[in-house]
Amino acid sequence: MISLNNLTRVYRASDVETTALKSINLTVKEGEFIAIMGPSGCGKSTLLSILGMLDSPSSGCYQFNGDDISDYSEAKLAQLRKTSIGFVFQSFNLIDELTVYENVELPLQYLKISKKQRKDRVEAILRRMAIDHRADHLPQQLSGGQQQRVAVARALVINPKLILADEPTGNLDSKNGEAVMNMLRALNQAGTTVIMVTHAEKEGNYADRLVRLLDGQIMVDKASQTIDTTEVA
Amino acid sequence: MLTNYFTTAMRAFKKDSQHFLLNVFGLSVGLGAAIIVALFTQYEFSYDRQQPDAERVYRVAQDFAKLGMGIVPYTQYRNVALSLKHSQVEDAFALTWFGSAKTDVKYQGQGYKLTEVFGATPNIEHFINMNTLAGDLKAALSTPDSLALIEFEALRIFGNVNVIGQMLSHESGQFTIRAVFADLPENTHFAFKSLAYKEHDPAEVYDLSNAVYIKLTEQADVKAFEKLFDEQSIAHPTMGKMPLSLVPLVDLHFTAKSKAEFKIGGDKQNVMICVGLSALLILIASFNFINMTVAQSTKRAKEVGVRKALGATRTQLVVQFLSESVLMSLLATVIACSLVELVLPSFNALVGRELALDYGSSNAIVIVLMAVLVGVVAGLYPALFISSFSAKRVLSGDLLHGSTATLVRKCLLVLQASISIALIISTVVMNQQLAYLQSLPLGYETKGRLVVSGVSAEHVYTKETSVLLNKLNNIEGVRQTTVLGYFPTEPPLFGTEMIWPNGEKSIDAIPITGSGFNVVQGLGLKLLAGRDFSPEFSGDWMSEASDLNIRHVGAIVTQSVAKRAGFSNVADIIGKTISDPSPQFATDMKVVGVVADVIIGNGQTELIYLCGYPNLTAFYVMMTIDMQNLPTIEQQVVQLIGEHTHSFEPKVDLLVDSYRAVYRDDERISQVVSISTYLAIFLSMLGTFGLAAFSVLRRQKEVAVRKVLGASVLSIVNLLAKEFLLLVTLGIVFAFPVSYWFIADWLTNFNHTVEQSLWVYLGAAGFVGAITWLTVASLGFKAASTRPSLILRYE
Ligand SMILES: Nc1ncnc2c1ncn2[C@@H]1O[C@H](COP(=O)(O)OP(=O)(O)OP(=O)(O)O)[C@@H](O)[C@H]1O
Ligand SMILES: [Mg+2]
Repeated sequence: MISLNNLTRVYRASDVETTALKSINLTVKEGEFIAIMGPSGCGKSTLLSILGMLDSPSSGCYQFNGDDISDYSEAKLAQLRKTSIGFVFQSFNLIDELTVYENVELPLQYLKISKKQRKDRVEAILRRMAIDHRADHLPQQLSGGQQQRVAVARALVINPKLILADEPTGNLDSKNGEAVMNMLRALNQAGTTVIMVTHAEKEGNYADRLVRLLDGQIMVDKASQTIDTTEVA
Repeated sequence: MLTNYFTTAMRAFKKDSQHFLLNVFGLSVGLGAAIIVALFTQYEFSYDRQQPDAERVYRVAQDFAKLGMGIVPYTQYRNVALSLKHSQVEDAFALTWFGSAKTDVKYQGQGYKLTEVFGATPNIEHFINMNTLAGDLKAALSTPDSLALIEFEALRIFGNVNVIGQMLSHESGQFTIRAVFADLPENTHFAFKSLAYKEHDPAEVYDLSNAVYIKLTEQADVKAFEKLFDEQSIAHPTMGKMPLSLVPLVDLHFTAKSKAEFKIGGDKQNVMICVGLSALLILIASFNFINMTVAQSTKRAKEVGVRKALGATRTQLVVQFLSESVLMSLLATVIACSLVELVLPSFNALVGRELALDYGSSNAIVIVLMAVLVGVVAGLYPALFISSFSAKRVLSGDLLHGSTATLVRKCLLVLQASISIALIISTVVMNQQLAYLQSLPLGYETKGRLVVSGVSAEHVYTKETSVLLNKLNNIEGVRQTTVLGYFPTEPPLFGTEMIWPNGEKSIDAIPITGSGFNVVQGLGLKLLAGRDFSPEFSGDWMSEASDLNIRHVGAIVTQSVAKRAGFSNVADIIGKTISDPSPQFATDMKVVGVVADVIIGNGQTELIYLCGYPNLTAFYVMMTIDMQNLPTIEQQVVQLIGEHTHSFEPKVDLLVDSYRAVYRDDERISQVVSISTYLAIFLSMLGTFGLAAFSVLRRQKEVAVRKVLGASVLSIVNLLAKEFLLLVTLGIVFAFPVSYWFIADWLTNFNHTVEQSLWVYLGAAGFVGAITWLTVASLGFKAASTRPSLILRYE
């Protein structure tokens, strides 16, 4: 589904150059559940946003479903993004001015889906996330766990092929965090590809595959079950 | 999707209501000013466009330069007949001065003065869009002794308009009212109140009292016709050939400047100044909008990031933020319209027009278009800026700290500061200039002078003091009276070519006026040599032609005339004779006195006073009075004039008021500039306030830390204000040269001008600096006084 080839991302801020990602090679197959881990500043978020087409690499090649997207126009990228990718963020990133319902409805509006259908789908997903009783609340009126469930609902409402999650449990207590992890796990089992950035080793265990970054380079890439605690230390 | 934009916008406005209100209010003021000026401009350009075939109608202008009168809209009636011979002319129309002989009328024993009475050819409706309320206009203008009254006069005299067949008696007969027509609209150069039957004689050659209008055919070549028409015109028997030209009817409001016009026209320069000022106001309001929106944009960064992640393209985001600013601008327009409704009456009084906002007309569309345009123009940069936020940075929790388009914001603030400074400088210099003009030595007195206009010569202008003049002189509080052949603030219309005492001819016409005895005393002229006119010298008053048909008259000349005659020592002209050689009016003028120059109108200084010279049929009586007796004097004057001359409702003016009226136009424009200046400063400060609030918020932590480290409140306030004061300083650099150039250009309109002084410039800069400091300080002081613990705890 995804293939990154010798991908590099360099930030140039006035005269300082930061290499956030260096010669990344990564292949993601459909149905995988990948956890990306590593110390702060190692380039995890950068990698995820390149995967989500919110950022573009400085060099190297990114293939999505077999097509090289490096020369796609902005509109085409937006089109690809809104049909196939769902995002979940650490800081939830719900729009404060919109209600729960309106937040979840938003991606469907960008997909130009009819109002009737939108209503059905939003209500279904809110029920599934057990947040339907809060549909008319504004994000600030919800707890962190509830907000993250709304964010997941928003990511799922388009039935994406790929879910990108950047520290989805970072702002949640362990109970809520676990609930979100279980949700992602269940989604993956239903066939959605999930790529998740996390700091917690425990959460790494939910994934099939673990990618460890250090200073913008892939250090480890293997099936997570074989993780051995000594390596982490 | 639009409803989604709308909800987001409304909730974002609500969340940040302070900035929202500042923004909307600022835009409302700017738009309000623009709407008023747009109405004014539209009105100024609408003059006479309502007349039938207006774009094909021209008025004949005659060049009276030989008489010192410039281009005047009057000519002989025979030019009507002359023009009709041409195939290019479809129709011609004449409006003729009626004179004042029959305009004092009586109805049921009560006397009335009919003012602005004209004779007109019966085809008036081919040229003027008349609305006849009663009777038949054409019949009135083709039947002898008929009168057509304007609604206003009909109501004044009769109390209603159904007065067809009523009679008004005058000295030598009576008028029958045959038509009543509606009041003329304000936006026409025509200003008659009554139309009387007038017999026109195409063979008549002397009479120059006809305003002639010519309607050309659609195919006519105006230039060619004008040339031909001028060539064919016949020389005046006494004044010679005076060039004719054609002026388009629709241009008359702006181009006709003669004192002899029906009414004072408009000034294109003033309209342009108004347009420029309102554009500046909109610009400042838009700058505020841009500045505040951009400064606040971090608050919308997350939304932008999320929308991008969810698949919004940049175009969609730009459209979203643009629709937000258009929405805001539309809202501001609604408020602006209410502001306009509130302010329009005062503005109308200021510019002397009757503007109204008519939502049913094309006005509404124009206003909505303007609102959308302002919304798009002001919103474009912020929309592009906000929509360019990187989704990646926002979404990975990396709050946006970097650039918030500070450079653009600073530039806009600099521009605003320079506009404010430049406007203040202009206002001050304009007011200085007007005050200076009014303080110039006029050469005559305006204080305590009352002028009665239009008193017929036989009753006051006589060698032996007339009964009426005696009675006027004896009114309690009247110190002196004299009779004048011109109104002291308006240049005399009459002038003639002279032969100077040394035998040389004057190159052009020298203005002359008749005057009674003691004119130096009565007008308060400054005598430089010789003496005043006096009954003691029997040679002063004009003698009738005796030897060789030459009249003899005493003359008092102004200094400039004496100089022009070649006398550098003005006293030397006393006793010499200046002569008017024209065959009909040959006159020898013996100079008895020289007075300092008098400034009349826009600065004319040459004038010869001739004792007893009959340049008019009705004269002006100048009275020097004790001001505390003014009401009783006015009352007795009216009564005495009515009794002795059968002239009713005479025009009585205080010279001080008439003098002020001369500068009314300049005063008006200076007032418009002043008001715009206040608004511009207000709007700029609104913007500074908004930005300062933002900057204070951003530097809250810095302020708290500095306080902990022991900084005083004042030093913190100054620290916050420094950024803004620096920008004001930069604004000065732009404002000074630009204002200097603009004002120097404006000052070329005047003969006598003030110097542009440095302190005005420094004062304006200091003022804007001080206001900026105060604005920032009001916010900074609060921030600096907050206990640091309250802020640092949140970190
Ligand atoms: N817009 C940017 N401009 C310049 N440098 C950047 C930018 N974004 C990220 N970086 C740099 O790139 C590197 C990788 O950043 P990234 O956000 O991917 O780290 P991360 O692994 O997600 O860290 P964390 O675990 O703290 O979220 C860092 O050194 C960061 O400073
Ligand atoms: Mg990160």
